[in-house]
Amino acid sequence: MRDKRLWMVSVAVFLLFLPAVVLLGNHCANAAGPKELKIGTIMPISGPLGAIGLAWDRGFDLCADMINEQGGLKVGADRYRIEFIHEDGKMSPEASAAAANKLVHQDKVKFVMGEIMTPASQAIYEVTKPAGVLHILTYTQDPYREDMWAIGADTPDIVLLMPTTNLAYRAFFEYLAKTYPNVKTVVHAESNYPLVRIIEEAKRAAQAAGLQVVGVERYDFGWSDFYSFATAILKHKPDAISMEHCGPDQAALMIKAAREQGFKGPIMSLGSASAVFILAGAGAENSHDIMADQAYAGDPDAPAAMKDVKKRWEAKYPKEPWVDDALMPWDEVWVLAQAIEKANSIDPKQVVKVLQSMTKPGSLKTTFGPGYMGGLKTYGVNGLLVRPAPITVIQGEKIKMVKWFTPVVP
Amino acid sequence: MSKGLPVAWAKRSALAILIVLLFCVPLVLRNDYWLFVFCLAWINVLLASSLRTIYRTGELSLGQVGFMLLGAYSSALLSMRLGIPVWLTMLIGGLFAAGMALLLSFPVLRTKGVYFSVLTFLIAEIFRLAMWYMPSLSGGPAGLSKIPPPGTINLFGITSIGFATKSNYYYLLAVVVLFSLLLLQRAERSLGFTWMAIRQNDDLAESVGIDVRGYKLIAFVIGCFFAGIAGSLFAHFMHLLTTDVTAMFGMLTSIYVAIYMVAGGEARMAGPIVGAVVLTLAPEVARPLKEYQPIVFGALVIFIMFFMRQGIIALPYYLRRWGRRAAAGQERRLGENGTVR
Amino acid sequence: MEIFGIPAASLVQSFINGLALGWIYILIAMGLSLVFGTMRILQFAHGEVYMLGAYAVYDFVVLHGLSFLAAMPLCMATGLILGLILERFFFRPLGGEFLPTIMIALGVMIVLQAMATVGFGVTPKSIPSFAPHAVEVLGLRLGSDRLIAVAVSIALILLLYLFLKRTKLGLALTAAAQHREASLLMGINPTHMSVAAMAIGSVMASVAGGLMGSIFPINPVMGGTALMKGLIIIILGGMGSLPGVVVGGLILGFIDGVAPVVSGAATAAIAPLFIVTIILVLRPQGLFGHE
Repeated sequence: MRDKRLWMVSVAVFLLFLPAVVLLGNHCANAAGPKELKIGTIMPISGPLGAIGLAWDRGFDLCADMINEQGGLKVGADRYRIEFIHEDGKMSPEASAAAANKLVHQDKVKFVMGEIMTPASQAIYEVTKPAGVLHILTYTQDPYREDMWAIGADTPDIVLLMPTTNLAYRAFFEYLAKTYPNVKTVVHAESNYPLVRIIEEAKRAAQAAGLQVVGVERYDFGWSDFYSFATAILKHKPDAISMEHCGPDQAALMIKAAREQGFKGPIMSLGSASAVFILAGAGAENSHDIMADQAYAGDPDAPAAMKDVKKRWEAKYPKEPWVDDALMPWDEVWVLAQAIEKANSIDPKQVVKVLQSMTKPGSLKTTFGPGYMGGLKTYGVNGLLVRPAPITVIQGEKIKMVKWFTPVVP
Repeated sequence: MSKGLPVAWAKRSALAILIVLLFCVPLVLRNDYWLFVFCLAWINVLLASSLRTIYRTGELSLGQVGFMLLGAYSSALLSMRLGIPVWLTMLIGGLFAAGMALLLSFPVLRTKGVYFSVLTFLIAEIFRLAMWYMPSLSGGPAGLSKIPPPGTINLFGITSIGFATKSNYYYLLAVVVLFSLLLLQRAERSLGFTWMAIRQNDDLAESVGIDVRGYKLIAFVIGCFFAGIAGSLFAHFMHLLTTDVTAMFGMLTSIYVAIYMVAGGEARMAGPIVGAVVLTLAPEVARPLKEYQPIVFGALVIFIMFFMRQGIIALPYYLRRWGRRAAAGQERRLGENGTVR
Repeated sequence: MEIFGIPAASLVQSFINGLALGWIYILIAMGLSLVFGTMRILQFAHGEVYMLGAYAVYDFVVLHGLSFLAAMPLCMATGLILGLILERFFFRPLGGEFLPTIMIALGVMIVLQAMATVGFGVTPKSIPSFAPHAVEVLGLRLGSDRLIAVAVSIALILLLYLFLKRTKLGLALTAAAQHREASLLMGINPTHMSVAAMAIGSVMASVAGGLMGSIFPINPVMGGTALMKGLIIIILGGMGSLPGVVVGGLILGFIDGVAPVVSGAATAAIAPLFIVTIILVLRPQGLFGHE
């Protein structure tokens, strides 16, 4: 009897106590410094893409350092220091939604950058859109708006400040056909993430370069053993293998498995996997005739801005090996900063309008070279960053950015 | 001490006050973020309670998430593709999950103990993988998006209540979950005694004429029905579903639901409720800890298993016990009740 | 020559692929089976012991510059200590009750995973391969590191077999794993058996982790897959039956190797689970199990 009352009281206390703690926590969390621009980031810090997520967070921070060193963003008469709030999206929509909710409603940020997988990014947008917060996408595999999302005239307050993977297809297949005239057939190796239309585009690009597509094999994103998959690919007896949308680990493991099973032809990795990562994972003796679409800042001929980012990383994170992926978040922040300064405002609505107006080639500086916002005809709005991209070739221990191209986005 | 009317009234009024307070939460929390967390907590409460119903018969199902998936997708797809009103599809979601449970009960209820747990675990994973590899239904890697919220209710033409906002959805969740808990409590009252008998020793129960299979079936179907309802509620709240392994329908969630129930204490109806609320809010409160947060969570679970095996709701019992022990200054081993198998 | 439209050479190659990894999973499953048979608990943290074994080797080889050969005994020692601690301080006090032991194992699993994340970071780490070349035999190719891993696994399993069949402790362990109640009647001390089972199981798991770590990059969440595979194997073969583990492991290896080549990722993922589900329903004790 006393028992029952006692536990009812305990339960009641618990349930009352928690909102109180929360309110208090809320109070404390909102102490903001003067003239600071808080930007939220939601990247997968844990989980299979954890290494990428971490590299992105560091890239964000490095660019913020650069801007803050110069005194901050110049907005009218004020200077704003950038402060990032990093959250873990875990590549899952629930975690990303929770993180977005926290950033938008508790930390009151006006800009959110995030996530790598479409469902997670969508979950973020669900939160940012009604709040009028600018969502800066950090990846999309869906440039065709197959599920009627992503960049478009009817989706306000969202931009993509890096190129989509499909823009590299043409250039890469042309390079492949030109450099290896004996290669006639190719197999596409896809994870089960990309949608069918993108694979179709990859196939078309291969065919346009004169290659015959002899097969499309799909693997499960979570696999760590690619031996069976390599066997599956090689059963088609291709001259070349093209991997689109694979993470760096997967690219490395696939290359290793394919080479160990005797495949000697060229292999293309089109998923922003960094060449250094691939080399480390696959081993030098397996890394010949590999083409990757990620920049290599260690190349002596790399643009100065790229090398500057690498230097900063090595100064700030001496124990962590440089990851070229960090160039992309740096550019995202840099471009955003340029837009904010041009708009002379930190109001996300103003910023996005100015961003979408910077369509003249060269109006935006990036570490890859001069860029601009494009995509009016394809998406109905200039919501995509267009900038040069390299073709990086790995031959044993040697990595070189052999060719640059600028994608065309009408 | 006589167990009389005054105690019953005290109990009822405390419960009533609690419920009123719960409904006041959105007014107190003017913060959409914590409202979001509390809404998830409600869904977890329903999941954990549905698990408890099945566990009353002695079987620990590690596959509630699979039935949640069934409810979520059926409700989402029916409302999106066939235009059926969400109120109806939510119910259908639960019924679909219950129907699958009925269908699967023939093989599933043949197993017991560890085998049952592993089997339910695997079944949930099979559901998830099957959905994952049927992109026409599940949207594949992009997931199913733009799931509509429940339709707006028109109150006599005076005002209408929409459910796209978190606070309104909170109220919806509160009403639905509380009602579900009421139903579960009713079931417990009529069948709980028999379930307990089955749990203690099902061979013995069978020998005195209890239809063990039948009672286990009822518990299983009821539990999976409410898991399905939880799934529907989830789908129309998140407006987005994915069968990614890292997301809600992955293996880890089933484990978490079981943890909510056990950590809360499964001897009482309130146990999984408390467990779900505390363990949904704890990781959010511990968010600043970043990568250390799971350590705190895991350590909490281990602590509860060692020192408070009957769960958080038995806290007053444990406090008194520790108090008594400290006062007496000597070791007394008291029997543990409620832990069988 | 083609079967189902696939060159026979590819089929055989895929068979070898699957088998190679299968042996390492058998190592993991052995420990799980021993522990389940003797202690009647599902050791959810087994995958984490495997993961920590991999990180131990990483730590010794990469961070301290030891050779792989020297790191292996240290890895086994790590596994042994971990297993003994888990048994003594986490499983024994609970008296083998079903629910609390599962919960504790889960709690330990979560904590160990988080500790590895904190200690080593989420970035996958690579241990330089101790045999980076591929070997070709009769037109079939396999990485030498895998071959050596298979050899080591088979050697350990043979050692275990000899131990179980020829030593007194081993016989007692077999008896306890086969039928707990009967072994109690024979005067076998259950606590000693638990200690032995956890010790042996954890050593094998950590060695498996070390071997796997030299073939693939390691990350803090690799324990989950290993646990899943181990679970599938012991159900296939029969919980508590050690020859069953070998058979179950070979079957799983076969499916893992051949299914992706013949029918794609979907089958490869669902087929093992489906088969195990059927077995659980029709013959829960597995192919070779008792009771």
